[in-house]
Amino acid sequence: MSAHAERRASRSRRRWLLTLGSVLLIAVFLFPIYWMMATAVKAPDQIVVYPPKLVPTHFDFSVWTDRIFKESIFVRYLLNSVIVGVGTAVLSVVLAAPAAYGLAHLRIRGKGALLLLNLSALMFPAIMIATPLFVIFNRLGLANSYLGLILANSTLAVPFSIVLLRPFFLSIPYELTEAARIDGCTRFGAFARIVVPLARPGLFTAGVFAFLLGWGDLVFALTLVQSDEMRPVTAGLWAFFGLNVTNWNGVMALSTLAMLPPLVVVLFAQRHIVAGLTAGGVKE
Amino acid sequence: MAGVTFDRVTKDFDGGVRAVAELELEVRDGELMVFVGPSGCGKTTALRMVAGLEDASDGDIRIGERVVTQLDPRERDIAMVFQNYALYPHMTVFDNIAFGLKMHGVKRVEIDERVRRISGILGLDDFLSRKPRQLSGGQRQRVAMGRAIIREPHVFLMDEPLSNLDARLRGQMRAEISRIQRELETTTMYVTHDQVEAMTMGHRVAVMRKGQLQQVDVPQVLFDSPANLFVASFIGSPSMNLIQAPLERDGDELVARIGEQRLPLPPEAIARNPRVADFAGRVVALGIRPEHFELVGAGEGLRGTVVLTEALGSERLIHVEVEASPVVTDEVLEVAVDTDVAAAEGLKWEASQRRTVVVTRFGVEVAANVGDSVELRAAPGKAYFFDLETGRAI
Repeated sequence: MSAHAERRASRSRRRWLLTLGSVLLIAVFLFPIYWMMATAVKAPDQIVVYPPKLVPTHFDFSVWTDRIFKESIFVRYLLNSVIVGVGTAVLSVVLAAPAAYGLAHLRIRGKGALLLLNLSALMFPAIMIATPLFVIFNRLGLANSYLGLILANSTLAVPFSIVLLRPFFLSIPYELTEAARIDGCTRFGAFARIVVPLARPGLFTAGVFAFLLGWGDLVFALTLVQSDEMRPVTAGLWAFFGLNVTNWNGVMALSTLAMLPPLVVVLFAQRHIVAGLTAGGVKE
Repeated sequence: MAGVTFDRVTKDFDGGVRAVAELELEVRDGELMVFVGPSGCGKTTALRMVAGLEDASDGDIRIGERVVTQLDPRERDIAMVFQNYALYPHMTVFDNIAFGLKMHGVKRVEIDERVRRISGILGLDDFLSRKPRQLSGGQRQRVAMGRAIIREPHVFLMDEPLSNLDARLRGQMRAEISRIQRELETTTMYVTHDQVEAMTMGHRVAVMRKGQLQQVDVPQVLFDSPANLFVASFIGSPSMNLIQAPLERDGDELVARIGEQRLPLPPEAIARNPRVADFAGRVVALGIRPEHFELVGAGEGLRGTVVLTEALGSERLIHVEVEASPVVTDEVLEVAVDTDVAAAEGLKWEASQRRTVVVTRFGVEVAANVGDSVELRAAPGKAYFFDLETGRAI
């Protein structure tokens, strides 16, 4: 074989190996999703069998027909999650955007300390602040309410959004704000009319991450919510966990359903998310 | 229309950096005042204080009779052209130009009419629906100008608007800006570090250094009568040649000892600078501009050896090494560093060798080859003297 042909064969082998490795990696990450969806339609006797059945041979849709699509509470759980997710996204972006912009461009004494403080807020796991928040919210009448859940999730979503948005605002030249102020805008007017439209991909990205954070929360949902009607879908899953027996069909069925809205959001938003995460990487 | 007055204006930044020090200056109504100086001299800070983008630490700024020191930029009735144009990327050319009028509540019909008129003047009619990223550098610059002009403000502020253009386009736009300013007669503050812009565009030029105003006058006076070493070495390209010259009295004559040579100062030089006689026995800085040298016969001038010739088409630059120490004061080094860091090191090295290279400018008909011995003299009345201690012109 000539040297050229050998090099081509070697490149081809490398490509195949890379492809195989990538497929295996993706399979590892996607397997839990597959297992969840498979378990949602498996007959109960196939769920806990050993060795595990990778591909279901007997199907059982009763949990779907008799519970998920019959009992209105599950729709309520999903609706609650939508409200909390969207509310967290909106509140986080509204609060984080001007904060991130100020930390990016304004001359603030102690800016370094503020940035560190903001970062430190991300170090606290939700479980640490859930109980203190319950005490405070209870006194304020916010426990067992949408606003309470939105505020609780925002305690984590806002600092994260600030960290995400600040580099983005740094990439938008401050001269644009200055030009707008000279043209007749107030400081806030320049931010709203000039900076926000340019920061749309970043704001969108921050909003999506905040939505996912709010949608996927379990700790605050379990701590702050007492009534079934207020439960988001993450806490609603507990309906299928009994004292001695767990309805895995039901758990996986509801989980599959719960996965769909964030999946749709991410699929719809993925182009903007990539733009939001990479924008500002190259200076114009 | 209105002038701009700086009334003992100071700007201190955090960390104790004084960017502008007690600036007292008046930009007259309808005048184009160019602010020039090396990087960090405070010219842009002064401009930004007029715009309201920087707060003055002390003193007052007036536009006309109005004290604007504490006012927001939008309340000052000024318009600014930024170095990087600062066009709004998400808006079309039309919307960029119209934005200021929209913010001031001008009606849609009037906005449309005014934008089209301005775009016609600036040659932007075909680009109104484009976004800034679809324009060339020169087109963006004109949009930035249009955005400023359309507001008919009291004052135009321009912060190095041509620095991002290539040399040819810069020349065209320089002429266009000058023409527009003279037509509109709007008071204009123009910041640049480009000599040619400073000398060709401004009614007057303000030279700044380390936050302080060095001299303000019409360009020709700055060139012919620099107030100090800094202005002398900053204005003019190539720079004024500055060499150390100990002065001695020899009877009635005043003699400059340069290297091993003793060169009597001609009577017209003393008549032009009578105070020079007070510096007998001291070392002064002798300055001669490249274009003010004359080639003379043997024994009549400063001896030197040609080390480089540069033919520039219509003229010739001849670099002559002479036995003399260059002036290496802080001001001169600052100008050298601003041009080229290596130039400053070169000056210090020359001083240590007591040799310096003077740059002379002659017509192309003057032939000189590397290695030739020549003798140079300043044209009558074209020698400048500076006090080495204070830097001031004598």
